[in-house]
Amino acid sequence: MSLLLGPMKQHLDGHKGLTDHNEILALKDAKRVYIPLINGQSTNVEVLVKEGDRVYVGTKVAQRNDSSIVPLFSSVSGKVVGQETFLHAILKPVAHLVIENDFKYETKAPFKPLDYTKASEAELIDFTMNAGIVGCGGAGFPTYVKYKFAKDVHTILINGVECEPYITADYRIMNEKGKEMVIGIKAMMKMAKAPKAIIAIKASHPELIATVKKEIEGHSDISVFPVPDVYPMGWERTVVFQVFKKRYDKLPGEVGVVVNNVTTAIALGTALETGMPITEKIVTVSGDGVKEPHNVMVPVGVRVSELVAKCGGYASEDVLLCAGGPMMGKTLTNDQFVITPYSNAITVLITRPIDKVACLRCGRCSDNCPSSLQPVRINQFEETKNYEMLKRLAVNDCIECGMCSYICPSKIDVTEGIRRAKRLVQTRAAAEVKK
Amino acid sequence: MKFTYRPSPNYRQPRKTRGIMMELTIGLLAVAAFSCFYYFTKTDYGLRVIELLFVSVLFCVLTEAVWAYFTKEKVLEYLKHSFPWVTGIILALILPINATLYATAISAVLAIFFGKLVFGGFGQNVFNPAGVGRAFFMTSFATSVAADVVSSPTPITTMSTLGWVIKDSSLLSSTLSQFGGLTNLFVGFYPGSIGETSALVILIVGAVLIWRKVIDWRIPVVYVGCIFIFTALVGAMQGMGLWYPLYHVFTGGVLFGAVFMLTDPVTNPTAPGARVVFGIGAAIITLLIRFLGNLPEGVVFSILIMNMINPMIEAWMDGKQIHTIKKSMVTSSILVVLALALFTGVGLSLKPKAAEAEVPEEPEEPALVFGQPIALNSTSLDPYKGEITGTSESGSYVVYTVKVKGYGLVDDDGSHGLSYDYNIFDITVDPAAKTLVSIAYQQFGDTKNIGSKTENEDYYKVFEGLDLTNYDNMVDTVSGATCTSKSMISAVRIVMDALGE
Repeated sequence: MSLLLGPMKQHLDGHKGLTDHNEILALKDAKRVYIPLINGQSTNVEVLVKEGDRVYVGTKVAQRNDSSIVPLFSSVSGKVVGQETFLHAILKPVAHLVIENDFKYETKAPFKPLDYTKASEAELIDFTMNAGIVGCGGAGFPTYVKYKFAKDVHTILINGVECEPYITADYRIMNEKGKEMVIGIKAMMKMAKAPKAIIAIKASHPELIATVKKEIEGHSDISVFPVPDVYPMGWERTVVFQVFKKRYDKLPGEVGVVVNNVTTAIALGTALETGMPITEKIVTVSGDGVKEPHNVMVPVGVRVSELVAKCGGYASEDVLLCAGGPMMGKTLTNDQFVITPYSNAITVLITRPIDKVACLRCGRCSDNCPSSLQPVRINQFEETKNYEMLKRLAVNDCIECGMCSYICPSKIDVTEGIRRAKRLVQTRAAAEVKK
Repeated sequence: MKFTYRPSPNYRQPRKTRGIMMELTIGLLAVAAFSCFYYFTKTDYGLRVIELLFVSVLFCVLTEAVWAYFTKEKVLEYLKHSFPWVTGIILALILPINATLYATAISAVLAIFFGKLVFGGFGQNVFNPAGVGRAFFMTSFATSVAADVVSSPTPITTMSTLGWVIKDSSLLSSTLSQFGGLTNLFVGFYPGSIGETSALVILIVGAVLIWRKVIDWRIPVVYVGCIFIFTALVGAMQGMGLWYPLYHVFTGGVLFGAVFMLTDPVTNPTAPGARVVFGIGAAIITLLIRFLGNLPEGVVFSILIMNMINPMIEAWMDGKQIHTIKKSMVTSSILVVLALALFTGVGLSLKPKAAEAEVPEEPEEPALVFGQPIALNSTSLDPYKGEITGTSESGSYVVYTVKVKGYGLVDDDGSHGLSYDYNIFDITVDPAAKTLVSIAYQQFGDTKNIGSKTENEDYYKVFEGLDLTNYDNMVDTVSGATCTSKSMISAVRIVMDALGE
C-alpha cells in the first residue's frame, strides 16, 4: 500500500477449515478412468496404446509431442477400451483415452528411480521431462522447460501459498510428504544450479510452517518464508515481489528466480524415489454445494461426478461447479469432466442470485488488481470497443485472477468484461498482422 | 440437478454498494446529529436543522421518484439503487442555517436533476450532485434568507473581510475569541454551514469511514495536507503562526468537503495515482478562490471544478499502474512545486484590511430622490396649517419663523401617535427681490428616517431663489417623504401670503 498505488492484493475468507483437518478419503472404485489427451492447451498428443491393450498403473499411454514433450500415464490397471470425446475442464471438448479398471491396481514403474545427488543436471532435466512432471498449481506447464533455460538462478522459490479459497490440497500434501518435498527441492536446486531455496507458506499456517521447518532441518540452504494471507499471494509475480521486492517483465528468471509449486516438487521427489509419475492426486472437494467437503486421493482420469458422490453428493439442486477454486476455476455445466494430473480442487457452490447495481467507480478493482491494471477503465473502453485505449491499458497483462469481480461492491462481472476486451484486442491485433 | 453457468470468479466479497452507502448515510447522520445538538443547545434554531434536512432529503428522493416513474422504472427498486438521500443530507449540511425552505427545496430538485439525472443517474454523474445544489443555492438564493433567523459572520467570512491576514495580536485574539478560540473552531460550536463546523466530529466520522473502507484515504489526506502546507507557507510569509493553517483547515467546510464530497467515488478518479493529483488540484483551487476570488468559501466550487477536469486527469493517468506511477509522481511533484511558488507570492502580497472589519461601516446614505412636484397653490397643501411665530432681520434679509403641521398632526385626531410635533422652519427672505434665500429646520416633528429625508442640503437647494410672488411655481417633493415635503412647502406658502399682504 502506497500513496500512488493500491495494495494489489486483498485478504479473502479462505474457508479452509472445511477440509484442512478431516480425513483424506481414497477413491478406488471408479469403473473406468478417462485419461485426457491434453496438456495445458495443447491436444497434439500421440496415443501409444491400442484398444484392448492391457495397461498397469504407471504405463505410459500417450505423449504430447510439440513445443514440449509431456508423457501421459495410466492411473489404474486394466484394459484400454477406446477413446471418447467430451467436455474438459478448460471448457473445450477433448479426446480421452478410456481404460477399464480391473481394481487390481497392479503397478509397473515406467522408469528407474534416480539419486539426485549423483545424477548430472542434464540427467535430472531429462528425468523430469520423461516423468511427465507438470506444474501442479493448475496450469500444467511442463516443469523441465523452466530448468532447461534457467540461467543465473540464485533461488528456487517453492510456492506453498495456495491462495485460492477452499483449496487445501497443497496444505495437506505438504503435511504428508515432507521427505519427498525436500528431495524434489534439492533436485530442482541442482537443475537450476541455485545455491538456495525458499518455501513460501502463509503466515496464517504456523503449524504447517513448524512441520516444514522440521523436515528441512539440516538443510541450511532451504528456508521458509511466511507470507501474508492475501489473494493472489500464490501468483508468481506477487509471491516473487513479496519475497524479493522485485518486479520482472516476463519471467521470474529475469530476477534470478525459478518458481515451482510445492506439489510439483513433491511429484518430482516421488518420481526420483520410486520411479512413479503422477497417477493420482489429492483433490479438495469443497464448498457449500457439497454435503461433506473432503480431500480425496483420486486416480487421474476419474469423473468429477464420482468424486462428488464420494463426498456425499450435492447439497442443492442448483449449483455452480468450478474446476479448481472459485476464483480462477472455470464453471462447468455438467459434472462428467475428469481429474487431470494438475487438478487440485473441485469447488461446488450453491447458486445464489447476484444483486447487480451500477458501477460507482469506487476504484477498488484498480486498487487491488495484482497486475496493477485498471479494470474499471478497461470495462468502460470495452463497452465502446476502443481498441487503442484497451491496448494502452495493457489488457493482455490480465491473468484473470478474478480479483476485480470479487472486490466489486456493485457485483459487476468485471473480469468477464476484461476477457471480452482481451478477445477484442487479440482479434484486432491478429487482423492487423494479416494486413 | 442444475449446473448453472457463470463466468468465473464465482466468489464475491460480502460487501455491497448498498452497505457502503448505508454506512456513509450513518456517518452523515452523525455529523447532522452534532449540528442538531449545537443548534438546539446554543441557539434557537435547532428545529430548522431538522426542517432543512427533511426538506432537502424529501425533495431529492421525490425528484428521483418522479423521474423513475416517468422513465417507467420500478420506483422503489430504482430508489434503492440510486441513493438520492445521500445527496439530500449532504446538501442540507452544506447550507447556511438561514436558508429558506423553498430555496432548499428548489436547490435539492436542481441538484438531483441537473447534477445527477441528466447525466444518466447514479454512477454516471460528472459533478457532485450536492455541490451542484449548493452552487445553485449560492448563485440564486444567497440573499433569500429566512427573516426570522439571525445569522452572524462565519469564521471564514470574517477572515475574508480581514484580507486573509491578521498580524495584530489583539485583533487576532479578538477574532479568535469571537468564535471561542482555536479549540472551539476544532470542536465546532460556532456559526457556519449546518454540518461543516465540527472538525472533531468530521475527523472521527472520516476515520471510521476510512477504516470501514467506505471512502479512500488518499483524497482527504492529500487535500487537507496540501491546504495545511500551502496556508502554513502563506502564514509564514506574513509572520503568522501555526494557528493560521489550522484556521484554514478547520473552517469553511474544508474537512467536510474532504471527507464527504471530494471522496464521492463517482466524481473522482478511480486510480490511486490520479486521486493524489486530484486532491492536490482541489487544494490549490480552493485556496485560489479564497485568496484571490470574491467568494470566501472556495470548497464547493473547487470540488465542482475538479469534477469537471476529472475525466482529463483520469485519461492522463490511464495505463498499467506500475508504469503510470512515475507519471503521477512527476505530475504531483510539479503541481506541488508550482503551488508552493504561487502561494509564496500570494503570501507576500496579502495586505490586512483590519480597519474595515473592526468598525462596522455606517449604512451609506442613499441619494435623494424627488417625487411628484406640487404647485404652491395646490389645495393638497391646505391641511398643513401653520403660522408665523416670529420675524427677525438679518442684514437686508428677513428671517421668518414658521410653525406648521407635519405628517403626524395633519389629521388632528392623534391617530398617528403622540410622539409627533410641529415642524418649525426658519425661512430667510430677500424682501426687495421677493425671493427665498434659504430654508432650514428649527424643529423636526415628523417620522425619523422617513420625513427626515427632507432634512437635506440638496432639498433645501430646491427652495433657494424661489420667486415668492408666483403661486403657479412647482416645487419638488422628496420621494417617500411627501407629507413632510408638503409641510415644508406649506410653510413657504405661509411666508408668501405674509409677503403679499
